[in-house]
Amino acid sequence: MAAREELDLFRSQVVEFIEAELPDALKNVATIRSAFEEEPGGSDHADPALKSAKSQWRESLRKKGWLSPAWPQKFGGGGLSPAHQFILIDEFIKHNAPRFFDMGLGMIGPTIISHGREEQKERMLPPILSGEDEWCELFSEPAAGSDLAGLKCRAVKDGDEYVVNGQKIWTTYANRANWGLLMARTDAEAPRHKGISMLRVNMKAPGVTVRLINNLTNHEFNEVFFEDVRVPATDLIGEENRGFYYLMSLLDTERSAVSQVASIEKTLESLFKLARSETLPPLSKAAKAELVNRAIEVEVLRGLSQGVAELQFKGRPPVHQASVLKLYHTELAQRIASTGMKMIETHGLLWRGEGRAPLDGMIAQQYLYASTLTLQVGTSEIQRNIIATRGLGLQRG
Amino acid sequence: MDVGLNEEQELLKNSARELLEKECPEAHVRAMEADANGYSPELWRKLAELGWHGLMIPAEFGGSGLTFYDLCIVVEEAGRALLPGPFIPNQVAAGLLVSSGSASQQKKYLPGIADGSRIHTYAFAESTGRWSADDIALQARRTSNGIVLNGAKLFVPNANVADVIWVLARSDRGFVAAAVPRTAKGVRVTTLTTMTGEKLGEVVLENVSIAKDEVIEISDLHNFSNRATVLECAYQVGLVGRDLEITVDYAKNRVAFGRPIGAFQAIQHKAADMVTDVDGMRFITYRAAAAIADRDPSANLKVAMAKAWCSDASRRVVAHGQQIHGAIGFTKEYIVQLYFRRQKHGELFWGDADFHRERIAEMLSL
Repeated sequence: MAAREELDLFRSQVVEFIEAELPDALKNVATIRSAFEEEPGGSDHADPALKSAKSQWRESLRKKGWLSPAWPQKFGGGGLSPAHQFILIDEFIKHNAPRFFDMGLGMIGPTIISHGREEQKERMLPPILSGEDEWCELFSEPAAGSDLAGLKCRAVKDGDEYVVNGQKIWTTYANRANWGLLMARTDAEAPRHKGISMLRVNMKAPGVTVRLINNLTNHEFNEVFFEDVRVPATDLIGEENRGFYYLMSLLDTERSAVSQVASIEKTLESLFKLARSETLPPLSKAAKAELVNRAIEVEVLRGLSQGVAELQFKGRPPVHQASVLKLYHTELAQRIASTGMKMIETHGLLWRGEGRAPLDGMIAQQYLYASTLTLQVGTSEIQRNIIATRGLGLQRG
Repeated sequence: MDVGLNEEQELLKNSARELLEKECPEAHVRAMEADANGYSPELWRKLAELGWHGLMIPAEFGGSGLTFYDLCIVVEEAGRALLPGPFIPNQVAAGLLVSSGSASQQKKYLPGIADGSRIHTYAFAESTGRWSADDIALQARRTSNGIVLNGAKLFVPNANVADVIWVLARSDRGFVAAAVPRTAKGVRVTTLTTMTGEKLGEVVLENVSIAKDEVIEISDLHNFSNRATVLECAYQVGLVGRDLEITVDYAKNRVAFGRPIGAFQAIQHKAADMVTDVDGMRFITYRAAAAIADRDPSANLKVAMAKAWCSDASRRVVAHGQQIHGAIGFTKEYIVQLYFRRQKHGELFWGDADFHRERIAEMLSL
């Protein structure tokens, strides 16, 4: 771990940067949107002044390298250690400064950096930073979710192209992305894990059909269909048939996203504000007790997250530790949403747009949405399997 | 998962583990449970030679001047080995002296603690068996040259072998801690029979006169409680970590339905939850330890959170340990029961989860 003084110094530099560069229009946005803050399509996006302030802030971050703090500097990143990233995100959240953490910046970029060819890095990374490219992750299929190695979508080599046929599902933002990171079977004869490749696919190419899935919170989930979609072989990421292994490291990265802690803290803080406000009748003893437990659990989450960051800093990629963090974080997010509902009692039934809904119905929305958190990026059951087998060395069942 | 230790701390941890694996095996833990004194003077001397007792004590008094955080690393290892005896209460007293003792008290007591020649403990709880300042009823009446103590203390760790008992008492001007020799006139020590085999004492004080020089005026009782509380947590962290190892080892070897029971997901998922609890305990404890070492104003809150969490999580871990073991875990011969029983001490000592949750609610103005 870097010396405490050095980290303290970095923290003050971050604060200085935010104070100097964050547009005023963003400074005063009182937001309780917490975990959903980053989600597009929210009411913030309708306001043109806010929109231009956001792109100005995005550009300041890009220049500083803090749009992608984890990426190496030579690819336009911040080259920051996890401990530094932790501080960066922490201060951003405290100051309500948007982070623009999307799939390209968070998951796809690091995967290309780790496994892509040099030529691909030069071609694919800059448009992620500029915001020109938006990506989605094409992993799950109707018959292959937790058992991802059973995926059926095919990519067949035809000259210097692959021809893709198949279906993907639960793809967040496939409706807005122009590129997708596709897991497809390139060798039907090989053992399941060894015949899968990772491809970049143009979401606007002929033969790609995207259909929004109607769901409980209007989260932008999609089904994606591929019919004879042609992908240039130069867009095969890394080597053929190594895709599953690239994916495993991508998922470890996704699970260890330390940024999650800060948004959960924000949610908890808004519940505490609500608890102390005059808006609600006095809280029941049981609700207070729950709120105290959630505060303790968030302190545990901070610690777990710090531990993952320290492992990464020591150059030891977290494996089962990432699963511990993901499992704990997502189950905690559900408990926090439930506690929120308990606090507002019958008012929890009111939905967004209903004037009487506390926090504009955000708690009810989180309550519903949180139910998916323990499914994404590997269900809680899969995480427990990983901890037991990869972490404790118990036999696979 | 490990907390971010630096190189010296890794070294400290490894040497502590090595020593205790050799000197404090299961047989020693069992022997000390039956032993009237509850500790081995020989091992106590070895710990002194290695500088354990003087870890936090400044070099001028024969210690190594490390931090409270470093002490927690050693105490975690002590918990892993279920080290019996007065190591922790002795450190609580050392912490009190280092942080609040007068120059003459430090000079008088610290070298004896560091070299292992004197054992100190503290007496905090009373008949209520609870751990807040309100539960201290024992009176310290001021006299011209000191105080006179009257009352009774309960759950005094290792009172039977302590040379000095730091008695927390209520005076007309706040709380005091008085250095009471176990053999002083008017002091009566009885050892209580306990479930865990810990040597806890009842200490009755009848008109015990203590000179002014032997009294520490306590300006903030939390500083004292915080250290004692986090040391219990650190011991629990080591304890549950070892319970998990023993349990996983058992699950890998015990065969049922033709395969190791550890291959069943019902067992795996319990084990995974144990990992999460153990890791969570470790991090929340060391975050509290760092807050104490750094004199962070958030220390009171972080300590209460750590103890609330550790009290519940440690119980969940050992309960899973028992369930995975099946009936063998209930036998005296098998090792895991030692951990199952001792967990309860750490859960209850210095306040259970409910006790600390109430404090947290107050601190967060709920």
